[in-house]
Amino acid sequence: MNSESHPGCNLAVLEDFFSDYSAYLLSSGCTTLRIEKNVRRMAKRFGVDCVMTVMPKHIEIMLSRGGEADTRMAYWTSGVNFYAITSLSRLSWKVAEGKLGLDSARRCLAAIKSKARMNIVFVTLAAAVANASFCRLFRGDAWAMLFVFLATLGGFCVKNKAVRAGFDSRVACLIAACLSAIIACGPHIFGLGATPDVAVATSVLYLVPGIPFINAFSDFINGHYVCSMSRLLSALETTACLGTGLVLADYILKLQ
Amino acid sequence: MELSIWEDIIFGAVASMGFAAISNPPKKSLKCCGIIAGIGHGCRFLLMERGCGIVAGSFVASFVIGILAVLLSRRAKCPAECLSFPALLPMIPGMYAYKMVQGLVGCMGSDGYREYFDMFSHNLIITFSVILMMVIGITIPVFLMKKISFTATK
Repeated sequence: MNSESHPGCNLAVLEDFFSDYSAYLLSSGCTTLRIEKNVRRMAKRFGVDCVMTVMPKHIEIMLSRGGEADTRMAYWTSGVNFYAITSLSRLSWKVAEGKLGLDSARRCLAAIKSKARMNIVFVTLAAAVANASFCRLFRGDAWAMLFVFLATLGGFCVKNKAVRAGFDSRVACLIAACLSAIIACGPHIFGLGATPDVAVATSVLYLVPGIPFINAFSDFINGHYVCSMSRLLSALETTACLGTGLVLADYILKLQ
Repeated sequence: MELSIWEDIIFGAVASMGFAAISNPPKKSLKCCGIIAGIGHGCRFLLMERGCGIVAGSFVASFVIGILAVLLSRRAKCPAECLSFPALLPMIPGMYAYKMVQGLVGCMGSDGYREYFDMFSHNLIITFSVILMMVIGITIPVFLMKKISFTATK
């Protein structure tokens, strides 16, 4: 065991690391069950007791050792990130097994945080192909699939650009849904294929926040009701935005 | 337009991998997500073809997805939910969710309140039941195989 991995680390420094770690895990879309498991695993290694309160947007952690205790609240914003969840879980095991000391773990956490996400062009194309496949699962024909592919491509690009330009993510979702639905009306307007309705209906489904919905129910089963309700409401809010975008598209096309 | 079981499996797998890409998955896990999603979606397709409802069908399919995700998580060296959640995405009742919102928006108009309210409540119940049963379906294997589930990234 090297000196930095000694369990008797300064409690305040440990708090910094633990709060940072758990807040990033929460914002990456991790379930509360996994956050608790990972943090407790590392706390045991450092010989501290850990009490956590997982709130909708932040985490409060209290570490205690002997008569000493320290509480910290941490907040982080990022999108769902499975790479981060996987890497942070691996990191927790390395710490728990004594392969990484506190300093190395902090460096490792910083490296995970700074890791770039997948190439945006690849992600956009992947989402478009996925949504076109989704259209087929709802029994759409080739024309419907083609227009859903184009609608997703357009909507996804606009959503990303809008978020980068500083628009609220809900407004960005509404604009993207509206644009996607308008593009997907192609088969209707030009009389192409036999399933134009499927194209319109599935064109916005790439915006449905599937992971937050699943996480909300997962937290509910795990007894984290506040976090669960928050995630559920946030997911419903996004769904409402995409529904409104669709209604708006319908209104625009009817006007013309 | 008809859909065969093979189309369902292939398109289910492709949809899962594509939607997973939005959530920045580890590259190694994408293939596993596709395999699991294809099998899960195929299961639901067969069950629904034989008259099973969407809620029960989604539950059984997600249970299968959950078992496969836990078993493959060690090989992929990632938490089971990083495989099972993307695999569930093509089964998220998105169509019901947005019809629910459409119904709600329709209720605010002056015409056809009753019809829109029925649309809203029906789709609300289906959406929530399907997601809840899906999550229960993937959670049971995690607890049945606790040792593998929480040591996959070891």
